[in-house]
Amino acid sequence: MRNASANRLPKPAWYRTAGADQDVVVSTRCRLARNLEGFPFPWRASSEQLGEIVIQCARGVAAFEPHAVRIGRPVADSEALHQLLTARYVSFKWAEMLTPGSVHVFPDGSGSIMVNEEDHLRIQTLRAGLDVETCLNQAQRAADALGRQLAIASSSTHGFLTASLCNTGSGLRLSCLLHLAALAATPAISEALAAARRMNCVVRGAFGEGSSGTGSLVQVSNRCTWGVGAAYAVEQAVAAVRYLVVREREAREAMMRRPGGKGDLIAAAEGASDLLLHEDLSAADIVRSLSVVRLGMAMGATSGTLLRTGEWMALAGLLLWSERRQASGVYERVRVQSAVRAGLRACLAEGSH
Amino acid sequence: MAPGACCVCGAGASLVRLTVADTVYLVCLACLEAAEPERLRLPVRFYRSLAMPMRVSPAEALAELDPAALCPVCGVTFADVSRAGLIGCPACYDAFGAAVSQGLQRLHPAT
Ligand SMILES: [Zn+2]
Ligand SMILES: [Zn+2]
Repeated sequence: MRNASANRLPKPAWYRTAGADQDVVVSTRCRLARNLEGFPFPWRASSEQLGEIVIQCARGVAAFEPHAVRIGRPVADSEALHQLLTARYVSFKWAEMLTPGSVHVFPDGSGSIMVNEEDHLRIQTLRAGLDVETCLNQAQRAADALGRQLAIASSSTHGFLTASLCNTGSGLRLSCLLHLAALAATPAISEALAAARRMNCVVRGAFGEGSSGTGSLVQVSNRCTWGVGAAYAVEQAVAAVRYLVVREREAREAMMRRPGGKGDLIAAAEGASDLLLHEDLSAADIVRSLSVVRLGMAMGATSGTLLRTGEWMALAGLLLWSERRQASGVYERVRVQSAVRAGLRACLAEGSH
Repeated sequence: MAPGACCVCGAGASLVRLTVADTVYLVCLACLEAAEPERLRLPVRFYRSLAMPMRVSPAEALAELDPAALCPVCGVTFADVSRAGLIGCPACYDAFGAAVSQGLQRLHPAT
C-alpha cells in the first residue's frame, strides 16, 4: 500500500462537466460523516488508534473501490497536497492535521473519502453547477458499500454517531457554492440571505468561518441532520438555493437594463481580467477580480468558459487559506496567480477566434 | 500591458484598466474604491460589495452537566467535551445522554 504521487491523481469530475444553473451555482457538494465502532473520535484517539483506523478504512475502501488512489497523511509530496486541495479532494482541516490519516480519491474524480478528519470517515462528492441527485447518489453508494465492510457507529435513537452534534443522525451535509455578484451589489442581498436562513439553512461566506472579502461567493447548506427535520433538510436547502438563483438572475437583469449597464459590466470585467493577468494581487483581490470576470462570462459580456472559473475559485480559496496560515505566502500566491493566468489566457484565446 | 500609473494618485500597483467612451483610464484599486468616479460607479460597487463581511454563527454550547462526569469507555470528561465542542467516542452519547439530547434538540430544529 504505497502512497500515490501527484501525477496519479484523477482529474476532478467537476472540472469537466456541469449540472444545471451554472451561471449562478458554482458547485454542489455532498458530504457524509461516518465513524467506526470501538474507537474514540479522531481528536481523542491515540496515534496507534488513528493508524489502526487508517488500515481498517483502507481495507474497507479497497473492497468496493479497488482503483481508488490513496494518499497518506502527512502528505510528503507538496505538489500532491496542492492538487488535493485545489481539486477539493481534502479539506483544509484535513490538510492541517499531522496525525495519521489518509484520503482515497475515486478513480473517476467524482469525489473522495477522507480518513481521520473530524470524523473517522468523510465521504464527499462534488459536481459543478447544481446537481444534487448525482452527488447524493454517489456519496450514498460509497457510504452503503463502506457500511457492508466496516462496523459503523450508530444508535437506534440518534442514527449515525459523529464527533460533532451538528452532524449526528444522517451525517449528511449538502452544500452549494453560489455566485451572487449582482445581488451582492444591491441592498437586497441582506434580505435575500435572511430569507434563505429562515428556510433552515446555514448561509455563510464561501471560504470558511470568518472569511471576509468574499461576500459575493456564498455557501448554502442544510442545518438539520438529526430528528424529524433531517428528512426535509436537503429539500429545504435546495429550495433556498433555487430562491437565491432566481433573486440573483433578477438582479443581473436589472443591472443590464440600466442605461450603460452592459458597457459598465464589460469595462469591469476587462479591468478585472487585466488585474489578474498583469498584477501581483493579494488573495482577496484575486477573489474579487475572479468574481467580476465570472459575472462577465455568465452575462455574455466577456468570452470564456464558465466551467473553468470554478477551478480558479478553488485556487483562490487555497491562496486565502495559505495567507491565513502565513505559510510560504509569496510562493503560493505566485503559483496560484500563474495557474489563474494560464487559464484566463486560454479562455481569452478561445473567445478570440 | 504597457507600464502605467493610476490616473488619480499615480500609484503603479493593482491597476484596473477601464475603457470609458473610447478613452482608457488606469485607476488603482484603492482609488477605485475611494473616488467612485461617476461613470465607473458599477465596477466600483462590484469591488466593494465583494468585500462585504458575512455574519458567522457562534458555536453552540452544550447544556450543563457535572464537569467531572466521565465516559467509562474513552475516559473523556464532560469538561473536555464542552471545551472542545466535540464528543469523545460513540459511547459518550450514552454517558452524557441528557446534555447530548438537549444539544441535539437545540442544534436541529424540526421546522
Ligand atoms: Zn490611485
Ligand atoms: Zn466516550
